[in-house]
Amino acid sequence: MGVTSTAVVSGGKTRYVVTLTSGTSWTVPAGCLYVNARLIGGGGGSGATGKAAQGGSGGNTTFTGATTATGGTGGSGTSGQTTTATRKGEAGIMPYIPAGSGAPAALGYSGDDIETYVTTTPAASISYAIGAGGAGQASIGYGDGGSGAGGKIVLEYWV
Amino acid sequence: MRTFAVIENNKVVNIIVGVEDEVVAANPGKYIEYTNGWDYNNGIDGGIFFPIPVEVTE
Repeated sequence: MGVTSTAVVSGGKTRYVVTLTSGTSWTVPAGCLYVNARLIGGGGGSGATGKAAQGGSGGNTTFTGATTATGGTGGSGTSGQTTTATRKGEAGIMPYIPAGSGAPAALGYSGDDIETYVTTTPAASISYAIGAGGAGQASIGYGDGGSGAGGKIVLEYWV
Repeated sequence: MRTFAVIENNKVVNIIVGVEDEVVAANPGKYIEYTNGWDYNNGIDGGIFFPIPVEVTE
């Protein structure tokens, strides 16, 4: 799935920005010889109260020819919360921790945010993957760990 | 948004979103859709994406 926006004309060329939040392939537009690709990995999930295991890591975001954005590591503590991250690549968020729970924070980490210059061939199909947010760890009390937000790819090109 | 685990050698190697139906159909066994966490009893290692939960005494 791609959303195109921000058309700006300069030097006889028009700037386009495409945001990809799902899907697996992108067709290079006519006249496009390079793209600036910004990749954001999925955010890590948070841990949860009463569980020794951590939240799941976020998924890796890839785009052929670009540097992979690794997903964030899951929180490794024993506390968690029920809020799910909403910004792309953001980790699960840590909220209220009950008094006496004795549980440290277990916030997951945000996914990598990497920009790469990629040469392209018009009409070619380029494979990509959007990292999913890491799974929040289920709890046996005080609420589950929050899930990380999914990643995204932002492509900028001029034609 | 539909989420999928990417499977290689019986292990989850990535988790991604929005894989098209035709891509899933063309790659049997590579993509497994999940919703509420992971089925740890399906014989596939969840890796770093789905750590097995362990209860602790505090």
